[in-house]
Amino acid sequence: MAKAASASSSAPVGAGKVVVRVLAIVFGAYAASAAVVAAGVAGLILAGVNKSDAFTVCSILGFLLYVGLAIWAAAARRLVPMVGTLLFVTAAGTGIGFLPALIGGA
Amino acid sequence: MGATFRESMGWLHTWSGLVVGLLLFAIFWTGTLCVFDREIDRWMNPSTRLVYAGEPIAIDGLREEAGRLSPRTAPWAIVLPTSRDPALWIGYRGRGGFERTLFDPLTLKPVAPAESWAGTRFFFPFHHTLHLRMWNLGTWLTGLAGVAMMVLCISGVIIHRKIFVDFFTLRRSRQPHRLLLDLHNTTGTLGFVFYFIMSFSGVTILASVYYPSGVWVAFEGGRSGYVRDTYDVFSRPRLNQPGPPLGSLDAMVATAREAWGGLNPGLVRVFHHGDRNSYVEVRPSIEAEVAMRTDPFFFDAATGAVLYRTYIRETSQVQQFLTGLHFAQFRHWTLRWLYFALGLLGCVLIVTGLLFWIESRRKAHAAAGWKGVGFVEGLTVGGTGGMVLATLAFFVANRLLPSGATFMGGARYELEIWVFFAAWVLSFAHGWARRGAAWIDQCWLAAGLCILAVILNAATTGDHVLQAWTDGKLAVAGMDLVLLAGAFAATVTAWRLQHRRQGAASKQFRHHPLEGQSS
Repeated sequence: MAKAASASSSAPVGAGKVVVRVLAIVFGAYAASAAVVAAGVAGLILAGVNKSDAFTVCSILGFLLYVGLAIWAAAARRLVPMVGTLLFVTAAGTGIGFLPALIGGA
Repeated sequence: MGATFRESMGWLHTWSGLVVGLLLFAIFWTGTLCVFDREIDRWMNPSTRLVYAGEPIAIDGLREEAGRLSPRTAPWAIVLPTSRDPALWIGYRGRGGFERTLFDPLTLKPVAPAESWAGTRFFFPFHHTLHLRMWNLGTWLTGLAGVAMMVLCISGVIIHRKIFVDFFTLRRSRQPHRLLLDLHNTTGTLGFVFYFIMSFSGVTILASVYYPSGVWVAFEGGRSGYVRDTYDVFSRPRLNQPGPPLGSLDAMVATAREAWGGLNPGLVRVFHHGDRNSYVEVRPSIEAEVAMRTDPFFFDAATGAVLYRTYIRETSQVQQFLTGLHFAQFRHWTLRWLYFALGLLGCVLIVTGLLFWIESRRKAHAAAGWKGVGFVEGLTVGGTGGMVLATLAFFVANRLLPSGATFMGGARYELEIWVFFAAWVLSFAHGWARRGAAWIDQCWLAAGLCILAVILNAATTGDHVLQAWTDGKLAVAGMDLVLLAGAFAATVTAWRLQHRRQGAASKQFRHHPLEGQSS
């Protein structure tokens, strides 16, 4: 598949880079969107929004974010900054999302 | 991934389309069938071919029957009929798990059990679980396919400069890949809004499954906490003391109906029957409006006093609206047929996309000695044509298997499902063995199976199209007519494909001597 992909685009791309990009599109974009959903839910609840409202709004928007991130991950010129950004968003979102629970639980 | 944004989107569209194309087809096809899930139910379960036009029903007469059917430890429910789903049934936990006993809605006399899982219990779960229950794998794959469909919609628009021109372009060129691309573009633009809304609303239905991160942050107890808080479910524990007998269910239904502004009831469920803390839940029918509104009332089982009315928050109502938009269970026949037509159009979109991938690479792959095109061609035959054949084989098996049939430990409904999967697997084998010619074989076979299904329906139930129509069994007549239309379409397709193949072969034959003379 990588062979054919490079045949159809202008510049040849290594198979390893294609694999990394595909993983970033499928799993990286999902992980980042899931982390942002967690952060969004935590933020809205802190701001006094009802739990169900917070979750419903954030999860529905989360799918659109996933779609947007997947498209961006496919289009981004440079692989390393793209992967780095997705990882950073995932880490930051998870941190913000679960921090209140951790502090509250301790 | 490419030099420009458009090239990247071209790469994304091509390869994600190839990888999830067959999965999307399976989901689109079964989804399209589910638009008429109740009608398929009527056709496959002849005992439920009843005519019900919304006459009021008194269910108090079923209280004793229901109490007798259900062991007292588990809740039981009376599901009220609609014109599309005319049998009233009592659902309860029996010895073999969840069971239902069917009744005629007018006489309230028992009706022979539905032996097939048909539309609502086979195609509908297949549509969102693919019958892969392990680790919820099918549900996650469906969700991924839904998101991929949105990505495909957006990238498809971006790689097109001339959306409005493509809308009116269908070149009947001799080059198959040109025609395929035109068809793909036309079906894509025609149904774009529908495909996007269906994939988006589809994934939002199971948002609490796909985004456990948000559920963990918000709710204690994970997903059950989400359901409890969001759907505001009322419950009270069993006291283990015998209570007074069950009060009038009809009176409870009347109270709820008045509060709903006259909506028909859909479900009456009794918890802890016979206990002093027994209570009754009454829900409206989902036929009346787009939103899949739950809005249940809870009554004390003995006195019929209102214990609780559920409050669904506005944001959750938005989600219920999206869900209802996707399920299309509301009463609107024009829209139902439109959903069906757009669903079929989506199937054409997916097939033409896959075929374009194949045709535009055929020469290059042959020249380079790659096997990719042949492999994908067989896969496409099995995944698309095979899905249609499997469906038709499922219908035919339903009319051929005798009532109560068992084989190798499988009940009748399981045998039908085995036939479905066997036909599907065989179609893949056939696709790889026959490649391009497989389309012609499968179209002929599909046409034959459609006709056979219609004949078998008439022979085994006596409800041929005219009879069913005059008896008011429009679901049965309609399904027969759709099968006949399918037979016609498959025959025309098979005939034209065969014609073109023969034409191409004879042209090749004529060309060779000419080329020899000129050189």
